[in-house]
Amino acid sequence: MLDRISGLVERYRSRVDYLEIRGEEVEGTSVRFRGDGIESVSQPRRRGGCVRAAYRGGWVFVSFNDWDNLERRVEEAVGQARLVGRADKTILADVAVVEGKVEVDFKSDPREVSLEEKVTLAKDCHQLAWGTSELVSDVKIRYWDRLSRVSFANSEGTRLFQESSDILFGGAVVVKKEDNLQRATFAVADRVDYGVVRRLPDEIPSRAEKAVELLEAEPVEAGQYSIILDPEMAGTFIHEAFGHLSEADHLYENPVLKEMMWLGRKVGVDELNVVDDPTREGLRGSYRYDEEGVPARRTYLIRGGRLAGRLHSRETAGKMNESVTGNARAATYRDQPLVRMSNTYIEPGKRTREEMFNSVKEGLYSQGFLGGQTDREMFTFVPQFTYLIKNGRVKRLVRDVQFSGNLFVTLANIEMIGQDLVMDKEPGVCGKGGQLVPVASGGPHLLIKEVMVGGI
Amino acid sequence: MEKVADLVIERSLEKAEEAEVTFSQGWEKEVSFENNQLKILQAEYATKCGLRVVCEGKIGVAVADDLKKVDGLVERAITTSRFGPEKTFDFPVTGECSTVKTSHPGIDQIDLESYLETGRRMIDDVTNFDAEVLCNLSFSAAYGLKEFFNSNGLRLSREGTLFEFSGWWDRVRDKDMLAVGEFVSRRDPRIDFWSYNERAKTKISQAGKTAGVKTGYLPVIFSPRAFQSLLAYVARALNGEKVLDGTSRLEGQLGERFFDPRFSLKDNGLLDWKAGSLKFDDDGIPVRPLSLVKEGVVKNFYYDLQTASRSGEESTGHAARRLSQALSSPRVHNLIVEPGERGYSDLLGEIEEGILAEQFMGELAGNLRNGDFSLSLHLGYKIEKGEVVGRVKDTMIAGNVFDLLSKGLHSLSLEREWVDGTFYSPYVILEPVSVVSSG
Repeated sequence: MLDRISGLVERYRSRVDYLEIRGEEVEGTSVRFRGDGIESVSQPRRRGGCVRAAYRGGWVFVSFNDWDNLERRVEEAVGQARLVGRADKTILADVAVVEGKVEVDFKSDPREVSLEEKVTLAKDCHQLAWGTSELVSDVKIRYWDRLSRVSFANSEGTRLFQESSDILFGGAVVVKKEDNLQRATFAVADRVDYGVVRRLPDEIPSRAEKAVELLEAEPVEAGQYSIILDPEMAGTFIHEAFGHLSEADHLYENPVLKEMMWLGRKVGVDELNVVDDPTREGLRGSYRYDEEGVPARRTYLIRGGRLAGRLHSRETAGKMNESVTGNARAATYRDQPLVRMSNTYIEPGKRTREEMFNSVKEGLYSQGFLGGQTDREMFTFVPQFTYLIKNGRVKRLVRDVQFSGNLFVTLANIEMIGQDLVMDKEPGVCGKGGQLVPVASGGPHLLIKEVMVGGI
Repeated sequence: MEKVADLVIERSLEKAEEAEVTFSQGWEKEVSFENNQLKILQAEYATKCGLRVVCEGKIGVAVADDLKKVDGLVERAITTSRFGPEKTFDFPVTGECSTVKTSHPGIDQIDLESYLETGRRMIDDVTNFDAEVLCNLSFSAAYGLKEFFNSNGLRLSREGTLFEFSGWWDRVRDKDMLAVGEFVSRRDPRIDFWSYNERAKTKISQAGKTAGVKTGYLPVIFSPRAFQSLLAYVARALNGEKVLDGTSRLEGQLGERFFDPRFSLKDNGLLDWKAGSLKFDDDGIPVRPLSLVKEGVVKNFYYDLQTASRSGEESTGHAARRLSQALSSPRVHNLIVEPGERGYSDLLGEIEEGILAEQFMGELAGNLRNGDFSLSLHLGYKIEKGEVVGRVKDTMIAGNVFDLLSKGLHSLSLEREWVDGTFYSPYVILEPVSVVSSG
């Protein structure tokens, strides 16, 4: 595949400022159980590609899965690019030409495990989840492995072949008492070791138990609270509330936002450091080269409480006159690369958990996350389990909790940063522009004051 | 495609009792403007073949991108049937389908260049109105053909076109970000782009002032778009699959007046040119309109073939299935809420103090089953003495959908709007709704 696309790139590159072709082959297994049994078992095989061309600052992106028509698609991309470009030239940050091959070094290859075994594993967890309590009303189990092979060639001479693997096993349990429904999720994941799946049965009973506890919980009273976030929640917070604003494609053509996010601006306490790092091995968001062939590197987003950097694609880096960071990612061959986070986390600080809890007279303690959303300034997220804190002691569970707030106000309200950095165990997926990419987030325990909490 | 389908079915029947082949081919083209500039032209071409087989009563499924690899496709489908769900329904035999206009005959002549022109003019108009606004517009046209073949001899095909427009207008000031969104989709190109430009300008100017609101209970006016978020809870409860698995609030309520008598809801997949319209569903069953709630009384749940058979009911023609799924799931086509009797401005005039909710963020919060919701206002306004006095910020609203639609329905407007192309609704005023604000 690499030879074929390289040849075409060579042939057409003189007609545009920049040209790239990416081809992808994916194979995998998917097993899904729902309440009453198997929902689906499949072994997807996909093969497709895309062409991206730029001319005078305008872009064209064409994706396809019929390789017989490859040349026609390249023709179309190149021809249309001349329609779209209106600027004087295409601006892309310079990068070195790369020739590389990245292969997966499996610890335990899921392709060597029979479909039977995967289905049995999922079935056992399904039964286990159902058996945790008589209040269980629904169980979902998902197993998923995926191996992708991507070939990439661009008009500058970069030629790359990258293999990437992903294994995920998890689900959710729903418990019900009259009209009250609560749920808990659980999951394990690894990039190269199928063996990780054997850890899931241990997670399930404790999670289910917590969901049952939530049934007895009272809905949280709406209002403002001091909140202690556990590492998983802290990671989600920094990803949702702040990470997206660090994606330079939100800034580079938006003069007001760019001015707001000026490097050096103080946004939090001196102790606050936030990093995005795809080079940390083995995490959900890890990779060697991004989808533009740029080598991944670690970027400080906040350092010493000040804005220190942002995440770039070649275009945003070029237009903002900053260095590339290797954060252009695409979910599948149907998607154009967008600036995305990878592994994003808050570095550990100096406070102990005792200090944090003792400082809270009345507040909340949130663990785990169910989901979150952001729109630049505003964020919203839903934790899995939240407890009341009274005079430094963790009291009872409360339910139906949702936090919402303004990013800068909240960052400035981070009062204490713990010592215990943990990268999340729950596999993360981030959505932007209709594309879901795997990510990881993490942090230490965090204490934030004056957070708005919604309730009934 | 018929020859390939016959070959696939023939190979499948060497090991399976039944087989169903679906070919899907199509394209989508999109023009996007970002931050007032023409940004990118995108095109997607896709051809897929999906196969379902039945072996020993269980369903196996596989999808192929490459139509030449028939044997691999059949083998994967047969393998997965070992673990597949049991088939409790019958594949249709006759190729019956309803009549509805879903495919614009001039689709091949659609010229993306005209969108370049329209987009440019719309942006100039808005930036002249307010130089701080950054327009993000996207125009798209798509074509799809789906052909169904099964071992009962069924031959069905349906063609569809889809035209969509989406706009996000951003006005960003320090500590004050406004984002106004509009989205429309239909199966013919008759989209009045300028009307969305006008709506955006109105919402932007109404947000010129900020208004405060105190935490408490207030009437809330839900715009049709905002009401769609709440109605998702009701639509879910009417889904036959949720009724079957015991997670529907409306289980056992058929024939009961559960809602306010002024609330009526129906699903109609046979409206010409509407985005949710189809001649037949993904099971191959003809689509027909269905009354879901009439004058507060729960009339029908909606089903696909499998869910219907497991519930002792008939399919209502609501099957949706991605080619990679073994079974369909029930899904609504076009949801229609019946209007009220009085005009919106009359009803607005009755509100002493309230909130007008236009858009929400954070829709996954809340309890989908029992209807408790907690939604963050992405765009909302304060109403005082019947007038919009300014935009509210940092505000969430909460309540229970089912309680509010049965005991808290203040009124519905006479005027209705299409939202997202598949939801037709009036403005709906509910009270009392819990409002939490730090603004």
